[in-house]
Amino acid sequence: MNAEPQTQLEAVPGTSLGRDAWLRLKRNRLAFACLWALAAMVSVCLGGALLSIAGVLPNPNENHLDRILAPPGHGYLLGSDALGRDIFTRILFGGLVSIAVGVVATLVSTIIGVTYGAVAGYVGGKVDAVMMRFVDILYAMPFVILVIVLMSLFGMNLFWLFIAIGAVEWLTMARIVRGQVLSLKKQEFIEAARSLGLGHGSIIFRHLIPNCLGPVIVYTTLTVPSVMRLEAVLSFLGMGVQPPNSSWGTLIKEGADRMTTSVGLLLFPAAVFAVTLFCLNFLGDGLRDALDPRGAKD
Amino acid sequence: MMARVFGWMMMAALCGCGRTDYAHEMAKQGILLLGNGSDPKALDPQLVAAVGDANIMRALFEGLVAHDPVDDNRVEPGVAERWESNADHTEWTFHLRDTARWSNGDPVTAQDFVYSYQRMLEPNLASPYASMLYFLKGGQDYNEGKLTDFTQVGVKAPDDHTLVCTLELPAAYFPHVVKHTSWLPVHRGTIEKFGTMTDRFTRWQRPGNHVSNGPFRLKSWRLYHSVVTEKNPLYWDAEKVTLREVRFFPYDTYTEARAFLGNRLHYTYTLPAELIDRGEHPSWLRMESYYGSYYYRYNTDRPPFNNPKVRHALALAIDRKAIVESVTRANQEPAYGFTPPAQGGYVPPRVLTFDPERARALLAEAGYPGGEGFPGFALLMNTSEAHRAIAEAMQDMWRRHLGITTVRIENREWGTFQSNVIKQDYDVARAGWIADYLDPLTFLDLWRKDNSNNNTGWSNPNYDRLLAEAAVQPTTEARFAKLREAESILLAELPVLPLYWYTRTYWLRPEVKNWNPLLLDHHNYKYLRLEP
Amino acid sequence: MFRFILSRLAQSLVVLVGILTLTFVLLKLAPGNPFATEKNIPEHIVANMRRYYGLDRPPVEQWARMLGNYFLRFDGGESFTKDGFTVNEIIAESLPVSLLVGGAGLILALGLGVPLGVVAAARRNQGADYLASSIALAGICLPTFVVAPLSIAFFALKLGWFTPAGWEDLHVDWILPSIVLGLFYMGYIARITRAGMLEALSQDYVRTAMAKGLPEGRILMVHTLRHGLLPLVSYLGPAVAGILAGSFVVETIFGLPGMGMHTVAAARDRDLPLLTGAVMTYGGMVLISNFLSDLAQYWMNPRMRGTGADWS
Repeated sequence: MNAEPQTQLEAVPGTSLGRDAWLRLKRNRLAFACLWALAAMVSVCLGGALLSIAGVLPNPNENHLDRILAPPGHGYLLGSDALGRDIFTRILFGGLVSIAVGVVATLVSTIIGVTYGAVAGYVGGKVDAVMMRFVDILYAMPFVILVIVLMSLFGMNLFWLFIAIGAVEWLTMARIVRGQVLSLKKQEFIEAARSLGLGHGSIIFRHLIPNCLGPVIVYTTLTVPSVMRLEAVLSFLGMGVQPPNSSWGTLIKEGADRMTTSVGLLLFPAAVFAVTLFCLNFLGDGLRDALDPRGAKD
Repeated sequence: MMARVFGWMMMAALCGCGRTDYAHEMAKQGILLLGNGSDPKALDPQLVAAVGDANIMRALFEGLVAHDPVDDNRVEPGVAERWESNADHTEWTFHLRDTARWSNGDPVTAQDFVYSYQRMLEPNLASPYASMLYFLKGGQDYNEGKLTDFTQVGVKAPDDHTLVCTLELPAAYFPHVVKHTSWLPVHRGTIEKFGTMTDRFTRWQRPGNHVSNGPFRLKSWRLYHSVVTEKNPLYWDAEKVTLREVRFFPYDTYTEARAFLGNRLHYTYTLPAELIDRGEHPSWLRMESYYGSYYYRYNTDRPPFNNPKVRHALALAIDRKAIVESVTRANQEPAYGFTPPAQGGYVPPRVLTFDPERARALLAEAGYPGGEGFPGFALLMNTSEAHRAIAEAMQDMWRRHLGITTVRIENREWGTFQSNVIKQDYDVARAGWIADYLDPLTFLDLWRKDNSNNNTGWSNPNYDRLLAEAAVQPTTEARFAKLREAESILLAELPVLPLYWYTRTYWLRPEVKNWNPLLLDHHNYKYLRLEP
Repeated sequence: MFRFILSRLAQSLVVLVGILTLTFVLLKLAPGNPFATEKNIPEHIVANMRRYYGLDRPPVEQWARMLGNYFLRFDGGESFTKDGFTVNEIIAESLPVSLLVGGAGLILALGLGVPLGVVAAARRNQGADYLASSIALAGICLPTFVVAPLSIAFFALKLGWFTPAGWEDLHVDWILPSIVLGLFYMGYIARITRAGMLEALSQDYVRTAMAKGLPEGRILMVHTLRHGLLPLVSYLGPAVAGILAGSFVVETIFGLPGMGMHTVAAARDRDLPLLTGAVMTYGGMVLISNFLSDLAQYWMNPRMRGTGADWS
């Protein structure tokens, strides 16, 4: 009999929850395509911005009053707007602003919402009831009003725009996280952590919140389009990004007003905006499917 | 109901384009549809201040003197059939016609005017335009509470049909002043039926309660929808009124344009710049001079705007012609002074130009060569696409010609914006002034030291002195000469940055007749006709 | 059940008081005053106006007075900026417009959205799903203030089927605005329905039913719809209030005298009574529709009954 083993056991690469989810996401071709599309969008915007700073593409904020509302051509890829500025570069820069607003405001609202919800769920009892009442109150107010008042209070610049939008969008996230924490905190590993003497903060931030990550991530990708839409509405009200900077929201508003004379002003930014939201939504769907294997049967 | 809707749609589709010309139909019925820019704040002549509101007041009420349909430089008898003044124009006597009636049948008397002017000046009413009545002797004191006996104020009714106005300062142009909305009368009985003289918002303004003395009376008022006025059969000149109704609509600029294109309006209140060139019906387009000035205020108490060289540099670096030709595109006149020139009348000194060289030199002298070190500042404006376009153009011009890159544009809601300006909490703020009456004083008076509309922190004792001297000059030429001297001081120190003089640009359908270009745009609705 | 209603009522009261207070505080802090007009008003006159409206009293007293007016007399007070109109009148006149347009939009959104979502879920990852989901996403990704002027330009100006602006003919003028308004919600409803139905269809009992040979239609309609629509009912709670309270964007572009216009204008002009009235109306609608939505969920989902579940 041979003393050597017949075959070597092949080393099986270890896997984690994250990797599993990533693989599932890759299998969802549409969602994955959207991820790439978004990445491409951001790169093009960044690249275009750099090219513009370097002088290869025109400056998006420079007026050329002698060349207003020009059709595509003569160095204007998509034509010029009512002050003679290049639409293409404005869309690129505007994209950076809109995406930045989307990401940062979402981040702000996620941080606020997750912390608030986790604390409320963990502490429970009267404190939880009061905290949730406050959420109810904010929920029952029209968002736009809150943002209008907040921005007139603090200022119309980009920084306060992030804060104001973030301050309005955190509510649902808080509710979701609270719900998760409520069910999680009864589980054994939390009891174990407590009996080990871990402080509350530790428990919340290192044990509870990481376990909520699934729904939080999914909801975050759904918040970004919601935030971007809110920014667009604010631009309609004249309260969004201030000139000469542009965002997709302001570009769409300018275009919608001048629709009868120059339809390109509206169509190009609106198309880009719609496609981005489209991709974000599909991506969110894909993430939800990837992170939650139950729903992905078949 | 759904079936009916469907049927309607089918019918509409079958009628070819399906477009019934609603405006034409309304014209056939004698109903005039006017875009009016916004909802009125009130239908009480003593409480309104906005241009759109004044339009409605002019349909509902008539003052002593009425608007001439062809020329704002002329006047026409209103409730007063004739008037005369004493030698130095400090006392005016108006003779009221005895056929003038309120819409409820009561005769219009001189006491009505005395009552109305007292109401206007009552401090407790807090009328936003009370200062228009400061022409009357003692008017300002009464309004500020320094005088409590109204019989001391310069307006008296010796009998039912005679009104005597005693003025604080001579004014040969006084009949023009009393054309203004703030001099319109109100019906005492109605006001006091619903409250006291100084109650600010009683139900007297409501349809059904409203009593007025003009060619039209109030039929309905629905917020964000319309104000409908119908012909007043008891108006003394009712037979001249051919319109059956005048309806005022508060749509915003682009909605209004769409409404007009869809045949829902006969007239738009304004027109966005890019639609001016839209050539469907060139006969629709009207572009007329309008006696108003579009400018920016400098906060002269705040550095660097306390330095006149800086103010001049910024002003000289603006290419007004380019703005008017490429941004606003409504044939406005680039301003070379502050007061708009009036044909055959007052013309301001020619001072302002576009001179980037000189601007750069001045900026360097002020200590900011090439724009270096120029502090950041905000160009404040109230939220509006039109203002924004102009502000962006200015921002760019300063960058290009002066090297100043630190300009922010800030827009605020109207209320906040006004508040900032009143408190003098701004750097450079947008402003516009439409004349209240056809005389340069309405513009120059703004910059008097204690005029509550000044808000720049600037004043000059010589300027104020010249204004006072102008008031007592014997002839119009002498008066205008003094005013020009004063304006020269204004333009030398430049607490303001004039941009252009207004035009009114709007669409008007051909069915509307007798709508003439007027410098103050004060149309006398009684003369308008609709011919479909 | 009775206890539940009572506790909800108490909670609602707290929320309403909270809304009123929050609006009050925010507006007091915000810069600007409601008495500015095109021309300047001298200081002493502004002081008079403030005294007239009771604005010179200490804030706590103003707040208390507002509370009393609202809860004891249902009186919203007088508007600061719309002279002569009481808040109650303004809301009574404008709310029906928003309700009509919003209601029609909601019916459209549900009528289109639910079937789209069900079809998408039933034909998951096939052509029909992609089509339905794309239609839904189109509704979500196109801002209303793009769709509105485009639809006006086409259906009103070019084809002449509808009026481009205004609220004259009650039989017809609500149609185009409600379609535009409903499109966005249709998208959301379709997606939520799809997600909910997918969840429901993946349940074991569905497999059992399919194995037993029940026709697909029956499975869908009878067995899974109730479960699959649960998330939708939950979403509808706050969303219904949003659509019924009037969209400022739609009302401005179409020139409708609805409550959305008043709400935004009141915030901009710092008209405290009117804004409070609008916000309270909106809040009231949110609370009612949340309540109805919770009731519906309770009825639809037997698992929630009898557990004394914590619902807040």
